[in-house]
Amino acid sequence: MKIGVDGNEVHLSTGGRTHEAGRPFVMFLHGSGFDRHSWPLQSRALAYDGYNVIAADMPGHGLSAGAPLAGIETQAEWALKLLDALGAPQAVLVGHSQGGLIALEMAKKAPQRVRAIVFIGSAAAIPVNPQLIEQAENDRFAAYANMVDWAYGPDAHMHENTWPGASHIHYALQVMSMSDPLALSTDLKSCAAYSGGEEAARGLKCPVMCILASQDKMTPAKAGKALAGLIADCEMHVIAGSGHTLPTERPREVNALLRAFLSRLDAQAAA
Amino acid sequence: MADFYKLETLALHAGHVPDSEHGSRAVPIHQTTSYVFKDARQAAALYNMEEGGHLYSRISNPTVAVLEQRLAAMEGGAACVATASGMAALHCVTTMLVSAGDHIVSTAQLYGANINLLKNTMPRFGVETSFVHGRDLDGLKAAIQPNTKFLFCEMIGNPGLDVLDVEAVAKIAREAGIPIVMDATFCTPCLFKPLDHGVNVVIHSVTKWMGGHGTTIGGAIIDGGNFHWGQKDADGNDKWPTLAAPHYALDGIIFWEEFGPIALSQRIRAEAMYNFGPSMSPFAAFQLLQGIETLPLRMERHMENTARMLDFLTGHEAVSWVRHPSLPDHPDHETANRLLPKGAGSVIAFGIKGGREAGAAFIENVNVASHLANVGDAKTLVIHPASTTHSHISAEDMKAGGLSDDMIRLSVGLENFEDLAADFSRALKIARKVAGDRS
Repeated sequence: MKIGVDGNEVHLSTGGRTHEAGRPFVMFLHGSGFDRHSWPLQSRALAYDGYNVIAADMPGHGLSAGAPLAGIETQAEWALKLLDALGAPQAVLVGHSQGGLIALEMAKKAPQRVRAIVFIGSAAAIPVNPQLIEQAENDRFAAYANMVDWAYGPDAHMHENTWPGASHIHYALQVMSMSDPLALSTDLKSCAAYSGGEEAARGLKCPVMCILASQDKMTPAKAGKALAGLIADCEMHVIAGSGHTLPTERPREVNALLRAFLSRLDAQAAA
Repeated sequence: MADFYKLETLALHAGHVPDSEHGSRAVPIHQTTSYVFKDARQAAALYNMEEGGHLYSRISNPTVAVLEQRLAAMEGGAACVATASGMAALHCVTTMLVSAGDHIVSTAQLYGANINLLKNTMPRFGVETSFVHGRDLDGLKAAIQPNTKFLFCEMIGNPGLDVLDVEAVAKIAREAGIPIVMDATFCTPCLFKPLDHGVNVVIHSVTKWMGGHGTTIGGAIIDGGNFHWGQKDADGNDKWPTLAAPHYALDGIIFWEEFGPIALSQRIRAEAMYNFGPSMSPFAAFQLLQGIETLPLRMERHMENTARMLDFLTGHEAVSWVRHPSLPDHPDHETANRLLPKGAGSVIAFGIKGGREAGAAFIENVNVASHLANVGDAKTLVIHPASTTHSHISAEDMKAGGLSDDMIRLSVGLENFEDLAADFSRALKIARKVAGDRS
């Protein structure tokens, strides 16, 4: 579906089901240079579980209009406005990589809007190699290739896939190619510049789950464990053998963890 | 520098990681029609395309999926769907992109069945195709209409061996906002990767060089994921409504919205495989995987023997003409040198002095080469297209496709070349005698 935020058209997937009043919202936040197509194996599954799913392209990403937003804080403000536009008073945030930083900042700015957070392949800080930023600015397709190379684990490099017939590597390269030429470099600079993660993580009051990958070269599990250690109410899982792109590399394990976490939240809410 | 696996490695491994329980190094044959669901929710999820997996082997199968992922990896595509044959692949792509009232532009230098599907079958369903010579770039551009949904072509035309300047054609298609669908059977990704040159969808008859053993019919559609299916027509309607408008099933799923780069392949699986059912069997996929493992090595040998065969035939006293894109007198020689530096395929067309009767004498007297209707086998194959593969098309289309009555199509195999040369020498000698008797 499409909706306007700050005068720009936002493309988002609702997982194939129209939002219904009274259902809990789950908002997926994609990582650097990616878009809503990071979540095809979560968005439909949770929508048909009964959640109002929001998997949006950030501005300048995928099919969403506007220039890419600079700064994690600005991106978090935009995501909160998207919740406003969709009439979502509160949502569970599921952030992959940079999306986790955005979730942290959303919780810091508007804790009442954040029911819970699931960090996937994320950390409190995501330092970025300056050479990669430079490459993203000057030779974006080479930067996409490097990102995809590092973002996927050994099985994905061998084109093993739970989705019959699909290639992680070439799917991801095409997803990245669809965005504004400045999307990746803007995202990487936003991650590199963001320093508020630890403070935001320490301030989290909502339930949190961290899903990490043992073969993650982008945000190593060690950094994810450090994030989990900062949070009062946090459960942590490390998926062995997966690379950074857990939602598509290991959708079955990720979805089982998501469903169990959401079920506990719903049970607590009902109690 | 990104470090992805190279073609030779992908040909052996892509799509398959040994399972943790049995550790089978070879790809297992999942000879099953269906799959036990874990529970009702999982069953619904599989039908609803919420998660990956298999529910019925007409739609997908674990062994076939390995082949699909291997081909996607080797071609650089976002996804692949395997089909029962190469013709099924073209049929599935065509019917998923067009509806009654739509139009296709195609190069004229095509395999006979490809011509027949577009020229004789699709018009019965309200879809017309304009055929234009692949070298007529202005003509191709002029043939594109507002209702044109794709441009179809073969990289190396069968059997005329015209080589398409696909980069020039891709520029025309890109400017017109339509995708290119290419049959790249004669190249395989060892010689040419169309997606790197502006093509959007690649189809193969994997029966040919990919399998190589001549045991198994199969096809494949590789979805490049590099086309924007959400474009609107001049009236503001979806130009490809099968991908950008709600589907009739799956709660009105919009494939382009949900699956982006793999929208076409998912529509093919959800509609073409469901409703037409041209699925590949798991045993066929296994056989084809055995072939693909050695494809890079075989293609090198195919090209080596082709070069030697061209030397042998060129100037042979019983041969009236020889056509191959690597020869300087071929009209696409420069294009072939530029786009196909690893070789312009292992099919050669040649004429035998004495016409049809001499040609028949040659074909009937080869012993090592086999007279049959196929190309790309590890064994050397010969055929007379005018009386066989292209006998169902008109004289006019024959001429447009670069065919003549005296033409022999030769698919050069992997035999010891000296044995091949001896076989051809003997058969050509007999053909020459027939030609002499006629003169």
